[in-house]
Amino acid sequence: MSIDKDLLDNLRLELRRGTLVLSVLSRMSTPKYGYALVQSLQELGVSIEPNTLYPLLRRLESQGLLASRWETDGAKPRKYYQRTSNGTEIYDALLEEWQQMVKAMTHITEEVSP
Amino acid sequence: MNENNNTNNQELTERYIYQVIRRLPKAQREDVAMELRELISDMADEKGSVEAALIALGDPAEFAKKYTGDSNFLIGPNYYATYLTVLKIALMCTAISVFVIVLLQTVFEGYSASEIADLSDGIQIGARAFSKSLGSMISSVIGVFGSVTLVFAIMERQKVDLDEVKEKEWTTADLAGKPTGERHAWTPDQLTSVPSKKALLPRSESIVDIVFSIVLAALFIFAPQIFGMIWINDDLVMEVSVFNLDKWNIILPFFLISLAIGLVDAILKLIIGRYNIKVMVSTIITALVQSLIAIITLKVLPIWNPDFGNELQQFFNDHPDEIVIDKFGTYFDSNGFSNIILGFIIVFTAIDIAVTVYKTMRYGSEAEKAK
Repeated sequence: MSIDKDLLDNLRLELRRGTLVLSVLSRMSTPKYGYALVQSLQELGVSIEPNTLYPLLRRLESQGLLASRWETDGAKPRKYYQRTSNGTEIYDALLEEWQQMVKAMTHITEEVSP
Repeated sequence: MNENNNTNNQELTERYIYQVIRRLPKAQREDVAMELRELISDMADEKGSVEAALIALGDPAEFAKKYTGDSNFLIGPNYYATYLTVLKIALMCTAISVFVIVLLQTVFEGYSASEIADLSDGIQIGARAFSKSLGSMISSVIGVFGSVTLVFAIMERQKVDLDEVKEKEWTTADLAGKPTGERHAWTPDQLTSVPSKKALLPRSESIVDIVFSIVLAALFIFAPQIFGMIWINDDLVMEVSVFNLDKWNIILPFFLISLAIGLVDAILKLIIGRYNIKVMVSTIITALVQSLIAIITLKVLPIWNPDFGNELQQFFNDHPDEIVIDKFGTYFDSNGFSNIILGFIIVFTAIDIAVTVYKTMRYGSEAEKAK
């Protein structure tokens, strides 16, 4: 039986959703603009489509985890995002959660015989 | 050439942005437009052309959906179950009352307006009335469907919290006019006992009560003349209403208040779903108030058509072959009639109260909270 591709895509999307928030927050201790973030994440092996990232940045801003400001000095206006102090607190807590999760998942999937 | 290309690129960019932002709330549009201008230009620099950038971004409608996020549904899971129940009840009430009222009214009008020579005329009028009432029923059902959906869609957008209203325990702090606001943390002693089967109030029964109250109210408001006798005499429709329609504007409010109280009681029973103290209190209050209203309407108000007896006698005179009771008119005694009805109402009310109190005491109060 071949694998159900739609189902797999769907599950993969669910699995990735939380890690994207974590990936984005991890990069935001210094101000960054959207497309630079896409590229830096890409280089680090996390691929995120701009049409996912931009709405995500906006959502994180509305949740108070990021703050933004428009930089209009350069050739074109750019919107820079940066973590707020609240965002940093949340990021640290999430990171700890993530590390525990990785440990547990590694344990479950590799070391414990089913 | 280069300049041409630039304006073309700008045009493409603006078209794309427009297709995204027109799907967004007004307040976000300007900022998102600026953000997208920046993004498209960055991507075009990397990918070589605006066109390639737009292809990578994909369908603007999909993009806009990601911006609007989770408000992509009309009625979310929080409200869906309640929405379905309310919708079911509202649609049933509308369908039944509109169908019955329009059917009866059209039949009356049809009989009064045309000469009825034989059976086929009658069938024709009946068929016309049926199709008309079916049409009215469908259009009003669609209207009600739309209104109910609209109300719930607005509640969804405003995040009206139904559960909070339902679950918040009343405390004395409410008396001070200060809403406590905080929700009590859930603890296992809030678990009420699983009601025994005999303590359950079937949902279907409460729904029938609700539909019945609303349909009856609609009939009292729009077609009170149907409560009575109707016959055809020499191509004329004869109606004898049992109610005093001349005084209807005084009588109607009493009926409606009584039905409204019954409706509130039925809705409470639907929500609670089992016998308990609240249901018992509501049943007793409803029964007492409805009995009081029945006494007022039957004994004080001029509820009956004073000519009912005489007009009915007319019917028997016109149809000598159908005479069952000779001189019915002289026998018809509205006071006695009122007493009989009142007697029935009081007996049934007493039985209802007795059953409710018994079931509440027997099954309803068995440890609301597990100890």
